[in-house]
Amino acid sequence: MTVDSLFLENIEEFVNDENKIVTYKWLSQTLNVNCNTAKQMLFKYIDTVRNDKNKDDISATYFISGLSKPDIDGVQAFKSAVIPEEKLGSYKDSYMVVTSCHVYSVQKSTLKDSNALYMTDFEKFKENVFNSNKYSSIQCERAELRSREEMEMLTMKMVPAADTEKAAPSAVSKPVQKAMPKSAIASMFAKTENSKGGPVKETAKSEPAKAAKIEDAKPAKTETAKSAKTGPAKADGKKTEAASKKSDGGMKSFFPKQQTESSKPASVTTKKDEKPKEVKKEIQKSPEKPASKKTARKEDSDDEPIFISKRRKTDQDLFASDSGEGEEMEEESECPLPPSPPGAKEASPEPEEPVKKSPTKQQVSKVDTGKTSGTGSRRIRKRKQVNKTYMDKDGFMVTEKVWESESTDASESEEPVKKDVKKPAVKSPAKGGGKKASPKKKPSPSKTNSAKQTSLTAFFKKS
Amino acid sequence: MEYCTKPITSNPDALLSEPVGDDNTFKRISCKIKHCCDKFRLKDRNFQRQYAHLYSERLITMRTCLESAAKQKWGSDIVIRKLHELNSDETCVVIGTLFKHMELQPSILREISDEHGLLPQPLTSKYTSSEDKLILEDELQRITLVGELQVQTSVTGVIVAVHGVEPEDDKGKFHVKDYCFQQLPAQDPLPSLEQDRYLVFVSGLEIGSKCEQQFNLQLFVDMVTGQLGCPEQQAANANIAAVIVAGNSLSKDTQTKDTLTKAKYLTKNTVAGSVEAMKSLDDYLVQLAACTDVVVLPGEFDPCNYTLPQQPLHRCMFPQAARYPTLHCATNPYEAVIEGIRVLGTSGQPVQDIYRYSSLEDGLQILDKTLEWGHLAPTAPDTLGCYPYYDEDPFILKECPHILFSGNQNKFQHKTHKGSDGQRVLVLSVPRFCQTGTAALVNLRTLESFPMVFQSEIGSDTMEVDSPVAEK
Repeated sequence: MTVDSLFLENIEEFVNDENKIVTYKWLSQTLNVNCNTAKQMLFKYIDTVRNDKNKDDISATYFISGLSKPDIDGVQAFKSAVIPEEKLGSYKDSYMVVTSCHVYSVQKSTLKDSNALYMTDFEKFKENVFNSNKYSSIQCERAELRSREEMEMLTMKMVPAADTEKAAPSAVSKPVQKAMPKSAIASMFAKTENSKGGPVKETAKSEPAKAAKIEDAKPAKTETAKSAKTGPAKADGKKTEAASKKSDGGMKSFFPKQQTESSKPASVTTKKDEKPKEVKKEIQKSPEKPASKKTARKEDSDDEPIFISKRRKTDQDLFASDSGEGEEMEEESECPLPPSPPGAKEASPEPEEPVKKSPTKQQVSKVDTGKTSGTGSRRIRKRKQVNKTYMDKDGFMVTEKVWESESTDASESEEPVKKDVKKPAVKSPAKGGGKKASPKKKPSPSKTNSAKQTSLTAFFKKS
Repeated sequence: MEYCTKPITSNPDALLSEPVGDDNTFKRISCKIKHCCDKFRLKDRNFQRQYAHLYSERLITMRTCLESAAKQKWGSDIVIRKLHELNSDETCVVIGTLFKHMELQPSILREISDEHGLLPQPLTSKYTSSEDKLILEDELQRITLVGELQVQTSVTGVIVAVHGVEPEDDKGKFHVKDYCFQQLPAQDPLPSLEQDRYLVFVSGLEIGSKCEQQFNLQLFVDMVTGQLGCPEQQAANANIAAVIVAGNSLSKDTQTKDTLTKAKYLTKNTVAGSVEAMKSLDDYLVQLAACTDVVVLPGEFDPCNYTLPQQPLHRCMFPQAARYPTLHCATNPYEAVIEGIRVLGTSGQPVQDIYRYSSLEDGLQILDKTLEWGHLAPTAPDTLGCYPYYDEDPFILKECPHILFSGNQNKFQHKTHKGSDGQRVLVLSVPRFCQTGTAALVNLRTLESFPMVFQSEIGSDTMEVDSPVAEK
């Protein structure tokens, strides 16, 4: 391999015109030559300048290494030093055996300290960190950069094992861990199918399969497992959006299922009303949906407040109706059964579902006073502890605490429910506004969201 | 060229010549490293336990070795007694744990005790005094030791067998005539290597400190990676199989412990000093790892847990260097079998601790003593932070190493420790690089070691290098 003869001009340019400090390492990386060749180039340059031009305005530093003479305690060390040209002679004498001597750097001005030398090389190194050893004379076969996949495998490993045996276990764990990304990838495919604007039925069909896979990967409660079987298309639609993200998306998808489950006894009609709304939303959005995460995220965030409000409502309902516990249980137990027929008929287009839901709803809610879908009121039986005063046989007035059932209508329960809705809403903005001001404002948006028709008096109660 | 006492180079000035372009590259020599630091890895972190378990485990494990050592030294007919079965005026052997009672030993109870109203103890380098007492403890009792066993050169936590008598007129004291420790365990035979292979030890880089030696460290890296030197020396450098960085890669200044005591508003946006230093360390390590196997041990000032055994630094701290499979993050203490040679060592905390609590001055001597005592860190957990082990004591020397090293010492020193069974151990004290610019090179074939000194004398730079001392 012959050396390019232009190097002399290059070095001259670097030293004289650009006033650079040319170290052998910097030169080897700039001219893409082996480090030893660079050292020889520098030597040649110094030689040329010193002999021919007589313009001796450059200074050089040398590297010298060797076995030192025994010191006071008789110890000999392998000393390596970078010294200015002037000290070369004296250093050579101080060594017993000189093992190396070569040019280290050439520069115009005399150096004050080693910092400038260090910085030149450091800056060059930083330009390409992983190429630092390219022009060195020692190459190591073992030192191969790990690929991106390998690095990801390492980060996914649970046990920190920094041994040379890492290669073996990582190979073993590869197939296992590939399954994990595979399911994530599978869910991505599901999402992209959806985004292609295919009819909702198709996605709904493919959903249970994918959903089942995702279910396996994630911890599933029994409720959610049940609802996975029922799989109303809307909930599955939600899940695809959610599952397109990774695990936290999957977790969010559990919420709609839980709400479909427990909200059924409480406010099946509300859910029904929301469903056509959300289904419409989904149909609108699915043709628009590219496979971009942002839209998926927006949808999720849109859906979330709705779900949260629904959830709050269901919580409140559960707490409110103590005597309704037994009823709730019955209703819940019946829930899996009726939803399965609609689940089987997933393929049917969305608008038909509300119609289907109403007969099931009537079957389910015994407590209904017969008010059909469209109205939001429902009788709620409450068990209250009441003080009862009466005359006993001895003629004494006795006051006793007794559990009495009291039935109220839904509009009254709206108030406490709304207050719960307010509280998270108030907490989330976390900005001033008087506490009174925000609660008063909040009822209006939440009211428009709820499908229950509330009387005007609700506004003025407990203000 | 070889790194030996008489290196031979045919042409040291080979590169003071015209560029020809016929540079040959050398291949890094192979290196089979088998890390044995699993026993120093903490599987669970249960700090609810007391340290009594660790001590009892130590005594139980080492008792058997000590019994055989005692029998060998004083005859198989000697009587080995437990303290509760001691008879007065009977010459016998007792095996137990040493406890050194020191008045000046910092005691947290005394510090916080209000009634004494004591001021906190001034920091001294040594906590020994002339009134220290040695006490022997076994499973049930303890007894004061007087006699041949020197107080000043002993430390708490060593398991010893003492031969002596408890006289009738001086009950409560055991007069020691002679004593012995565990015998050096069996050593695997030294494998015969055909070729010279070198191991380089470096420690105390102390990046981030004011006296950090960036340029000299870069010279070291360039030397190992084959950039510096003549082709013959580069060929010799290619035989460096691995580099072991033995602790304190970051400096004490990066610890910035004052953020704990300062008010939050003062320290709100300050970045920890260790962040920049870690990036700088990563830069050095990526250059080294691209060319050779590197083992990084955590040290006293590194961002790692305080108690021994220190867990490996996580590879996420080395985003660049960890891309190379040649970077190995290891525990402190560290044990490995490299090409059949057992290497064992620490980053210097046990040696430092023994220095503080005894009159021993020389780091090499202390390291040698730990080999004699059969325990890597006898002062743990008394004065050296240690994990409360329950059913094991991983610091007991069960196999004899070929190389025993300790990082962060004051100077480069080495000696060969000869065991009673023909074992030969190279005891190596690796100096702090920030102070001395010295790394230690060990030839695995001959177990010889040499210091490698890096310095620069440019302009006003004059490196004061402590002369390396060797003890043979």
